[in-house]
Formats: sequence, structure tokens, C-alpha cells
Amino acid sequence: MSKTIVIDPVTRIEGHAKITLHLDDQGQVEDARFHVTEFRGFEKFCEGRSFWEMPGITARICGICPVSHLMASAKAGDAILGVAIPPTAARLRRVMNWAQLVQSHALSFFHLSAPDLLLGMESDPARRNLMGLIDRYPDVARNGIRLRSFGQKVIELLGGRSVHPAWTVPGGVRDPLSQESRSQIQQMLPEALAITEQALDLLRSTADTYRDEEALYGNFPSLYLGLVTPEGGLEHYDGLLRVIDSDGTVLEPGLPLSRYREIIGEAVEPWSYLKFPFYRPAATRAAHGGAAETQYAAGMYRVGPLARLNVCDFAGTARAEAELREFRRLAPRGRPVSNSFHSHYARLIEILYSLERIAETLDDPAITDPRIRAHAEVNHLVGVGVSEAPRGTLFHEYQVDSNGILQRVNLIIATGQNNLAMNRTVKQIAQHHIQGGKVTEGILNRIEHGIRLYDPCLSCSTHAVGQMPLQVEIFDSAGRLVDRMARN
Amino acid sequence: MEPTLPATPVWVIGIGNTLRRDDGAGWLLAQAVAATLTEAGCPVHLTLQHQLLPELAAEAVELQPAQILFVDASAAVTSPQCTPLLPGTVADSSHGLTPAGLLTLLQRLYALQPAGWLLQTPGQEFGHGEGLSENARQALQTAPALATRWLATCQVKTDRAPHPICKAPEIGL
Repeated sequence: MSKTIVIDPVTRIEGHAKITLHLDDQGQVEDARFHVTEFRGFEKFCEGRSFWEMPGITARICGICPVSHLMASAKAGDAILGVAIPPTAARLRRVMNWAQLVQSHALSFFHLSAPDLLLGMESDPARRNLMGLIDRYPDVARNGIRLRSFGQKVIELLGGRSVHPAWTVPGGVRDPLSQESRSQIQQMLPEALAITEQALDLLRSTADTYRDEEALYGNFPSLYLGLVTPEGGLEHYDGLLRVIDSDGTVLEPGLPLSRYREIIGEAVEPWSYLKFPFYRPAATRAAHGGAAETQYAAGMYRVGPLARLNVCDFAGTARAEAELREFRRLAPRGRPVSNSFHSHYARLIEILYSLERIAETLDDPAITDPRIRAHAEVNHLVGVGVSEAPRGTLFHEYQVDSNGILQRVNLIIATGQNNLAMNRTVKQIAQHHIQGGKVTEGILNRIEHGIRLYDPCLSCSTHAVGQMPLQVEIFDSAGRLVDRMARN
Repeated sequence: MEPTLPATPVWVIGIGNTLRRDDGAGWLLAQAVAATLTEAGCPVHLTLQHQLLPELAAEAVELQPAQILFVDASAAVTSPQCTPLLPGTVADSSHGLTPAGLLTLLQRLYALQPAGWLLQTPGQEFGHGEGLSENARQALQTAPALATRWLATCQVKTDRAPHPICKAPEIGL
């Protein structure tokens, strides 16, 4: 008799979720689903508000990555105003965005994933957590705190506070960077860079331990989407949309951001509040090929650190460039790195890149220029703002009336765009480890780790309130719940 | 007799969200308590947080506080209460450390052992919106008296070694 396994709640992620594993009559995993069980509805209740308020409102979607929403929202506002913001304002926004990336990636690597990587995927669950990390690897725990502190401090120095800073606005930023704050950030940079280099060494030291996981955790062909500079370099704030396929073929070399709808569609399923964005051209081709029922899944693409390093031609900073070359050696020449397990490595490379870029940007004396805001009224009725959040590409689109009152809001969040890939990853891990319907705690954690590779932020992706534990449930072929495992 | 004031700062950490009605009482009470303590000549460092984050531990290294007073709204109390706090489990949450969990981080990672206190003020309405309920608002008016009593009690206890806070009584009004 077939059955279904449910993991509920999933732990060490941002939000509420559960996983169901559907077994066939032989007890082998037939299907796996990652369910997001929280709902919020920001897109709807923002209607009727002024677009000027949106950076402040949408930043409240998340306490971890509010800066990402500030960036995308302010950029959508810039587009409605129809202005090119002062160069210093754009550079300052970039600095804050990089700082956000540093603190978020540091949290993911040091505090959420390091317990698995350093203590072992199947070690005692009572100790396989931050507390266990503190006991066994206090230096690693301290480094995580220091690196996060760096990112948060930069955000605070720029925006006045580290969480929900009301600093980016349509047209620029509210306050310039003072000479004193600039010096303070510059003084903190060497330690942050040293910690990142140590973390890269640490990750390399675990490589032999996780050869199997490298081969099995999220290792499948997919498309990749991310921003690149007009020259094809790694980009986190602006630029163009690039899509490549699993062979490394460039499908979209550089689509202007405002045209994102031409290539991205959103599907829904009744079993999750998280939408399923897909790459339209691939789904359309699948539909024409007769696979109409599941056509959108053919447009599965990944976003985030792995995707960004896959789509760019180069990093453009010395240390990150050297690491990018090493990263590329993980895949056959000319092909993207298809294994999501290497997202850990990609995150550390991006931290390195961000720190180098912050240093370089602050070296320019013009960074303290007080001209930081362009003033205008509503000049366009539609504005699209796109930036790279730590977890991937973030889209904000606002339609306003002539008074700037929002008529329609569309938010496409990074975690949603990884939804299809997360489901595929869960299925891949479960199919490998679960035999005859037997699930151990260690296997449960391995499945959860598959989700953690994407560092999902479910608060963002469903724009929801709440905490984020996960559960696993097992159903038989008749749909009956036969087992449940949960951790809080 | 005038109490001896602590030489190292008291770190007052207000926890809450002013956009979630009474949850904002944590911030308001923390501000009021900090003002009272400052007026009494006590060195105070005030921090307002939506959640307790791990990087607060790094801040503690710079501050070296002798006392940490966590101030939070709670549906579990009917009047402001201050209870001593010991290090506790660090939960597997990325942005939701408990006060006891933060004390553990300080102790294990930085060998800091400030005395911890949890000051809870009553809250009833935690939905979206600004402004406190009547009960929460009234409770805040007790802040000056509560801070004065806490200061007196805290100073008595800090004269004891090695863990003076463990057996301290609850302070209520």
C-alpha cells in the first residue's frame, strides 16, 4: 500500500512550511511537495495607498531582508517619477544592498547551515543546532555574529537603523553618507574580509565529507535567471535580465527589467500559498509539444547565488573573480554549476564580492556628496523595480493613477521563483534516501537541508507573518495520512 | 542612604513592534525606564528591537554591561513584573532569540555574565495598528516607580557573588 510522509514543520528556514512525501505501493517515493502554509496578501492591501509609501510598507514584509524590498520598491518609484537618480544615491543604495547580502548570507551559512555541515547531517538532533555549534565551534559562531554585525552596522549607518530603515525613497535616498560613517565602515572591512576567507577555507575543508550530497542535493538541469551588468558582469542592483539553460546556452542575453512579464509567468497550485513562477518561452514550447498539463514546470528556473554566478560572465573584483574561477571548475567547461549544494560556496563568494565592492565604492570621495535625491511628480503610470535580493531576483511592479495611488501591485519574490526547484530537490533527496517507506530523523534533516540550500524566506515569498518551523507527513496511495514527523 | 549606582552601563533592551498595538509597549516602557534610570544618574544604553538578534552579542562585547534589562509586552501578565533571568536554550531561530538565549550567547561565546532581568508589561491587543489598549497604556504609567524599585533591588543584588541574580525576588507593583 502506498503512503505519504509529512515533514512539518521544516526548521532553520524563514517561515512556516511542511513537506509531504507520497509513496507508491512499494514504499518508494513517487512524488514530493514543499508546501508553504502561510498567507498574507500584501499585493492586495497595498492597493489604494500612495506609491511614495511603498518602500516603507513593503519593507515590513520581512525582518531579514527588508533592504531588498526597499531597493526594488524605490526603483519602481523612480520609474513612476521618470527620473535618473543622482549617481551618489545609486552608489549608496548599492552599498546598502551589498551589506544586506553580507548579513543575510552570513546568517544562512554560519547559523542555519553550519550545524549540518560541521556537526553532521545525521548527528544528534538535540545538538545539531546553533547551541551545538556554539559548544563545538565557538569561533565559527562568533565569526557568523561578527559578519552579520558588519552588514547590519552598514545598513544602520546608512539608513539610521538596521531593520526597516526608511532611507530609500523614490528619487534617491533620504540622507547622505557622512565622512565619519564612511571611515567607520572602512575600518570594519578588513575583519569582515578575513572572516569570509576563513569561511571559504572551512567550507573547502568539508568538501570530502559531502561528495554524496554534492551529487544528489538539487543536482538536475534547469534554467537560471539573474541580473547582469550591460557588459555581462555580476550584478545585484540594476542592469539587465539574463537567462541561461542547463547547457550554458544564453536564452535571454540582456532583457530590459521593465519587460520581465514577457518571460516570467506565475502558476498556482491548491496545496501551497507559494506561487510557481516559470520561464514562459520554455513552458510555451512544452505546451506546443503536447505537455499541456504540466507545461509551466518545463519553465523551471533557479535564482539566487548559484544562478547569479552561473549567468554572469565575470565577477569583476580580484578575490571574488579568483573564487568564481574555482567555482566554475565544479561543472564541465562552459556549463553552469547545476548542483544546489554549491549554493553554500556561491554565498561565500558573493559575500567576498560584496565586501570588495563596498571597499571600492567607499574609496571614491564622491560617495559623501550631499546631492542624493531627484524630485519629480508622477510622470508614468507603471513602474517596475528589480534588484537582486540575497535569495534571488526580486520584482516590484506598481500601476498608479495620476495622483500616484496604487491601482495594482505585483511582487515576484526570489523564494517563489525557486519553488519548482525546491520541490524537485526534495523529491531527489527523498527518492535517494527513503527505501520501503522508512524515514529516520537523519533523513528528515537531509530533506530539510535540501530546502535550506535555497535559504527560503517564506515571509517574503508569501508576504506572510510568522515563524518558520516545518513538518513532514506521509500519505498512502489512497491519500490517507499514515505518519507525521514534526519539530518546533 | 543613597544607593551606589552601577559604574558599568545598564543595557535596557526594548522588544516589540509599535505597528502591532500593545506589542509596542515594550519599546515605550523601555524608553520610560531608561529615562528614569538616567535621571537617577545611572549609566544607561537603550536599544529598541523587533526581535533579539545574534549580533546583539557583539554589541555587548563593546558595552560590557553589568545588567541587561529586557523589556517586553506580554499577554501572560496583568501588571508589570520584573523577574531575574538566567541563560537558557538558544532556539533554532534566525531572528527570534529569547532573552535567556542571548544571555547564553554572551556567556559561552564571550565569557560575559551580565545579570539578566525580564521586565514584562501587560498587553492584550497584538493585531495590526498603532496605539496601545487602555490597560497597556495605564501599565506604562507605573514605569518610573518600577524603574526606581528595580534599581534599588538590582544594586543590593549586585553586591552578592557569584550569581546574585539567581534568587532575586520578582519585582511587582
